[in-house]
Amino acid sequence: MIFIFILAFVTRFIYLGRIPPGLSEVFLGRVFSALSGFLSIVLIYFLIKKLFNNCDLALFTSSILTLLPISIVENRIVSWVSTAVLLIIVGYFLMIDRLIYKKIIGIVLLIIFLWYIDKEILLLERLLKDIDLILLVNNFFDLASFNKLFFVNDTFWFGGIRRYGMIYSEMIPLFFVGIYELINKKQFQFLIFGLIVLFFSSLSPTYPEAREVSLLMPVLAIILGFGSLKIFNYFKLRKKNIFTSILGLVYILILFYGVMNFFHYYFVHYSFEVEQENVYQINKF
Amino acid sequence: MGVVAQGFFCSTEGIIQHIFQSLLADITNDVGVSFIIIRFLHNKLIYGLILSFRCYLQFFDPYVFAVTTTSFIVPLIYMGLFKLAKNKFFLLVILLFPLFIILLLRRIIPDFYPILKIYYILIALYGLLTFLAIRINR
Repeated sequence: MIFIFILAFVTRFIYLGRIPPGLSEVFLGRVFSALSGFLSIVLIYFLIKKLFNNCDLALFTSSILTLLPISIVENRIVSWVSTAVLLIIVGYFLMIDRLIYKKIIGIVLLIIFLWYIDKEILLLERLLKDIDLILLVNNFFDLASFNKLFFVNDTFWFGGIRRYGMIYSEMIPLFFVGIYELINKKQFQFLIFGLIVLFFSSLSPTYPEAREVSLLMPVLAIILGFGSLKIFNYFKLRKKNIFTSILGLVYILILFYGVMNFFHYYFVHYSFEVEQENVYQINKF
Repeated sequence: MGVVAQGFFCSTEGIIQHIFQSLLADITNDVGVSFIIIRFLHNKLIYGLILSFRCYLQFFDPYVFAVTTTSFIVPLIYMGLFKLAKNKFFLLVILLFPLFIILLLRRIIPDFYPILKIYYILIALYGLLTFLAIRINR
């Protein structure tokens, strides 16, 4: 657990002023965002532990949230998404408490979260206007597509990482097993929250730029956490079988390779791309 | 690895072409990085695997279902797929069908969309029937 928190701290704060390249006056904003991200990781650990009374699941979920591409990208820039995610987790954490006053604080925080989001995406204003239903549904499925989930997330176009999906493509088995597990255990609240996020993201006025979809990160971490636990238990039960042991080890190596590849991309290629885009923006506009 | 999805269903030729484009772009950006790391992270095998897998997964993608047929039958397609996948024979058919299209059908019939549309609609119909059966049995 301590290792995960240290990793979360390091990945959020290392070279924060330099990567991604930006103006020096945004540094404080970045620190705030990184701190929100770090606190989200710590709190999601305790939230899952409290909800399911399972340390392994909590550990998997928080470690996945630490390493998710969208989480790293959003936590290292000045981002309202990081703050909103923290508000959701704190609100939910308080809401499930037995004490009434904590429940009320939790609900108030979730209302603040909704107001905060609405300030950013003007959801209510758009809901009251005429909406093209076909376009809305198409946007919804586009955001839920495997392409955006696992391979190319272009919802955050300028300054974001477009070469990676919201989660690593190496985590596809964990994702599907996780969805199956959540449905099997009737934990629909996370899936419903995910669908709500997808719904209002598909209303984004700047679509296909729809950064609201990054609010999915805690849900994705929970889905992947469930998937990881199931697969981990599967391999643990069959650890005497040499074939499954090798298979498990190979899969861990593949995951490690994927994460390493992302960090290489983030710290080497991404900065270079953002710098080039900045130059292009300055010259063009 | 951005453009393989353009024009939807990819081809083997498209994947190969894209591997080389991506490699060229990525390797030239790696200034001052050790040669071994460059080869380890940017190589044809990994790029090829990821792109092929991405291409394969498109055939199960909700957005592709929505655009090939219509958005409102996407849940039925998933329901049909889920029910069919419980039978080992149909599971094999479902898993091999994308390969059949990518490797064979695409070459014989370039405009294979109508066939794919019929395939998805049949699955959706099966999904609808199972859904109705569940409702009636209740």
